[in-house]
Amino acid sequence: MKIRPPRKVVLESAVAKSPLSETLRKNLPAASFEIVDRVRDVSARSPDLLEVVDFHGRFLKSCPGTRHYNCCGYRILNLGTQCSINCTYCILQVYLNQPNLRLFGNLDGMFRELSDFFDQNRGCLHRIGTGEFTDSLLLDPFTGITRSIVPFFASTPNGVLELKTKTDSVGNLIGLDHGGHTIVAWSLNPEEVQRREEPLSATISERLEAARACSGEGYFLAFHFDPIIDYPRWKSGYAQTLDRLFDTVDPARIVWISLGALRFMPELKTIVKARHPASRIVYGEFIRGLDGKMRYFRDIRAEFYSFIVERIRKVDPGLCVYLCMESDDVWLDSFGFSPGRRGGLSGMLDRAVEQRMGIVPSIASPAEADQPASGCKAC
Amino acid sequence: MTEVDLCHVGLSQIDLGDCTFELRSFSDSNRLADSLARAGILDPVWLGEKSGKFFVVDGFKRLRWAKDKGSDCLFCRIFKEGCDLRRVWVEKLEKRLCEGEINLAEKAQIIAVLAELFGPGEIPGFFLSGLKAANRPEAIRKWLLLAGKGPRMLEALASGEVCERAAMEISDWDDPGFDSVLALLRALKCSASIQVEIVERISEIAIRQESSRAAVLELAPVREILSREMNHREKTAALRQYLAEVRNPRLSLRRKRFQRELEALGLPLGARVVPPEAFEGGEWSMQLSFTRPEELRKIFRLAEPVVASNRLDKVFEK
Ligand code: SF4
Repeated sequence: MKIRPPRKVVLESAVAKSPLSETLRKNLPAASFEIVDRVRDVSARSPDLLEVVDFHGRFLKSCPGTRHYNCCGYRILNLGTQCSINCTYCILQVYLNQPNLRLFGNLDGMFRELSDFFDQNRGCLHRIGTGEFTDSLLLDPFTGITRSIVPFFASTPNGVLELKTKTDSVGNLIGLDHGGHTIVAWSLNPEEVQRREEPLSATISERLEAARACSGEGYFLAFHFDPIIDYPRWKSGYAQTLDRLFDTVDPARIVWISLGALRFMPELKTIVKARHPASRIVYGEFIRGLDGKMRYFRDIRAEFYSFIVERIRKVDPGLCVYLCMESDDVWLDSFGFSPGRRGGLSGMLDRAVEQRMGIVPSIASPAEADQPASGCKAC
Repeated sequence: MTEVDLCHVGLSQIDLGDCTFELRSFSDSNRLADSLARAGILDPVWLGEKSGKFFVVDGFKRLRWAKDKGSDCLFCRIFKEGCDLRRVWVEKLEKRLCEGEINLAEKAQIIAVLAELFGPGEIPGFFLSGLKAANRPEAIRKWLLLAGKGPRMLEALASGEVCERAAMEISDWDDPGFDSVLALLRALKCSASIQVEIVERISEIAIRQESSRAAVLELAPVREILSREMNHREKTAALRQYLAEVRNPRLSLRRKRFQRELEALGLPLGARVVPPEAFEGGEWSMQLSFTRPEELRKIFRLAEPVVASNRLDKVFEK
């Protein structure tokens, strides 16, 4: 996959001399750099522009789950926003006032916040991911952020970092001291869906090759069949991708596989129709879900999940497979149990980390022993 | 300033056949006719001068009225020979926008003229806001398509038989589908939101079935519904239901199966199992309707063995 380097970088003056800005200057020799007081919100998207801002919000947030569907209890580490991979279904398209690639330049603030968080919440496991508002590795060849964040997590006893990507930009991960605390994760779909709906992303083969390389470096892996797309040949498409996945990587290295059928805010439909007129994804059989998002009719979702779960079970019955934002009744149809019967979805994922990665948070000091039963103020 | 004059002009000097500047309203409003009958022509008619003769810029209906009435000459505002026709148009449109109440047919024609004068992407914002038209290339493109669809479309727009949003939706439909949907909307006389629902459904069914919109409108059940002896409300309801079923085949199959199983279950009258909306989520409910306590007791008594039997599970089956 060839990532087009940004041709223009606009830096807010407060972060113009930050280590991130210096790295960008070094790694983007052909780009022009401009310093401004403040990057303004705009409505038009400039594909070659990268904005580096001084971020004043919280870097670490809880996964925006809703009460109607089971949430994974994940935390999101926000490093920037937007993405140039341009997937047809990408939710980031609705953020119309900030359409450009944007990075938070004050990474020192982010590491401070992370350190404080881990200091205050030592008693239990924290699964933290960076791929919510952008692709985790899209700009990594230019920013090299993984070279500081992966070793940071290696130094935490109870933190697991998940880098979610549709790229094969894993060059910076090679040779890093990850201490077994980083999961590199890929979103997967059938080749046909990738070509149609994620055309600028790495191909499925490239993603799997990158996964194999990471596995060779001792990283743990995860895969997300999300969004699962309904199309006439979906069964053979997903079966083929699963076969290729298990042919390429050792299932024992996979910590979890998540499944999530396409869902989107209703306003995305108009945007997809206008921006991606050849895409057919918004014409599926959708209903309005309990969280207000459009989702495939539940029987369709349950059919996807049962089919995929069964195939994964045949390969590795012990592999943690979970549904992203689904209700108990869809869990029951697809798995025969609901997360509540297994200690909740969050507990299932924590156990997967414990069993596959061997990370068990332990209460180390007398002060921490005073923490509540869950062992953690944040949980 | 455009060079203009005010003077009397004989009707015989005016070429009433030159309709270059006409914006047809496509509506049969009697307001102007009534006013003319009461008070005659109050404002000067606008004419342009060309080779010693005159063409009409503004006041087509008034001139036709004057001619029918046998008038010889009229007080007119004249754009003199050689004046910039673009300025003439701009002044005419300024005037029209100030007169208020522009129907959708006029709106389409005015946008087409503005696009011709300024270029589709350069229409001044004040014209578009005066027309309540979105200043987006896609919206302008659709208005231009509508303006080019011919008198039947413009009539339907002017009369309100086709609402603005539905018109925008169908603006780029190709001919056979466009003609059929126009006829359909005119026949159904339904509300704006239902029009939009119907045209969106037709489009989406065509996309899902990889066929054309015209083919969807030619489906036997659609034709059968439209030929039924029903009033337009009943036809609209039947068509909406059919289109919903075709658009959402899995959901509609599930609903039908659920209904069948529920009927087969034989719950007493007044008791009903209600699934969650679109079967989403786990919250099912049971509704009981009764008027007196003994009626409720009876429903409970009759329902109990039914609910206890494993026939109930069939109702919940996927
Ligand atoms: S890779 Fe993710 S963030 Fe990037 S466009 Fe695709 S869906 Fe959006």
